[in-house]
Amino acid sequence: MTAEAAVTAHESIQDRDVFDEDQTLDRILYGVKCKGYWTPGPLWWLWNCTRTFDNHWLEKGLDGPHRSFPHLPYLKWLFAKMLTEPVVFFPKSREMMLSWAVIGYCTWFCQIFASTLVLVQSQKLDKSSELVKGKEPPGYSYALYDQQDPWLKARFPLAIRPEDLPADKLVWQNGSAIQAIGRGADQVRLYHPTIYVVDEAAFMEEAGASFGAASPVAKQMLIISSAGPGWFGDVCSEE
Amino acid sequence: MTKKKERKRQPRTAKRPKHSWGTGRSRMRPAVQSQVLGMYLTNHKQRQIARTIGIDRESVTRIISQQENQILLSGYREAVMKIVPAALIQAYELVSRGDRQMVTDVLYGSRVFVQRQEIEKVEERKRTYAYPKAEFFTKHGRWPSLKEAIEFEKTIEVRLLTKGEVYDG
Repeated sequence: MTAEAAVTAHESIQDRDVFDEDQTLDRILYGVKCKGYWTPGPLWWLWNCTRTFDNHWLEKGLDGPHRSFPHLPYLKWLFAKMLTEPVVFFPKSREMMLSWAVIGYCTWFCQIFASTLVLVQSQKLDKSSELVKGKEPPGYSYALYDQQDPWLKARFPLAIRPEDLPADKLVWQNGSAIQAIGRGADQVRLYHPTIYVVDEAAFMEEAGASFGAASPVAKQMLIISSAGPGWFGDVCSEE
Repeated sequence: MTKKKERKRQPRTAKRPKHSWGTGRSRMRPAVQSQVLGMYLTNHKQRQIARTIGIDRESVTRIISQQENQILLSGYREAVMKIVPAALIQAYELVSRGDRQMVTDVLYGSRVFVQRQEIEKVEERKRTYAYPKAEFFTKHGRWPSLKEAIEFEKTIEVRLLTKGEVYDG
């Protein structure tokens, strides 16, 4: 035994913390395969490292407004699609947690990959702000960020204090940002997004034109909507 | 015979030189020039001014070094220096009266307070492999080499840092 090789208990505890964080981050980054299924990294993060915000917590008899992301059967397929496809159209019904899932994926993306810009568009700026930072109740993305463990928040800190951030923007210190915008193709032209998200595209004016404006610059486009006539319906019903 | 009338032409002006460098005058818009001067007066560095406004560093240097701007700057400086004593007295009074905004402004101005992102840097902690070494020692009664510790670590049960129980369904 050499003196150099010996370690103190304090050093061992410190190294254990780093080891635990590394092992957890590994799963947040790459996901995990168990019982024959692959749980992708963003989904693993949503399920195990953060919580969502539920306005109906009193009616549901929950202890508080924050609860874990539900283990819905289609989520694994959904996240696998988002991780592999550049353009995805999601026709959905209400209460499917699809907006939460897409925003969760975007938040995970911003934290893991530096200098990412996510553009979230919907019919009104207020609505799209609700998906990002929001005010009261907190926006989807901010709720997911805020409900993480402190070590994860320290790992992916925001650029400025959350109180100083506007309702339509969430910015990380690594240069990533989620920006909410209102309807209109001209709104999209002001940015060069990495990921372009449209919520309730069937009910948004100029949805087709906005999609056209984003398609040359956006690396990925995720279009979500409930059923409705118009451009979104036409694209989804095309064979 | 008719005599053709000669058209009167305006005398041509002298040709302008193709390039205008070396004249020492900036063709930068006055708004940009005043922005540069304003930032220079408030103790911003030339590199910082160029980055903020989005112009070349050389342009910033040129604007600042122009003779007319130099005269303007010294005039501004003199005017500002004249009101500094009064401003200091006012600041002192506000601080002694407990004006919270002035107190924080003074502390930020004197760099006692700094913005969080100025000092906070995410530093990735490095592994020392002290943990697997200690575990190895507990099991085998001797200190391992680094290679042995790395190999031994793969057999250690992982304790994940999550909010609740890990779902593995």
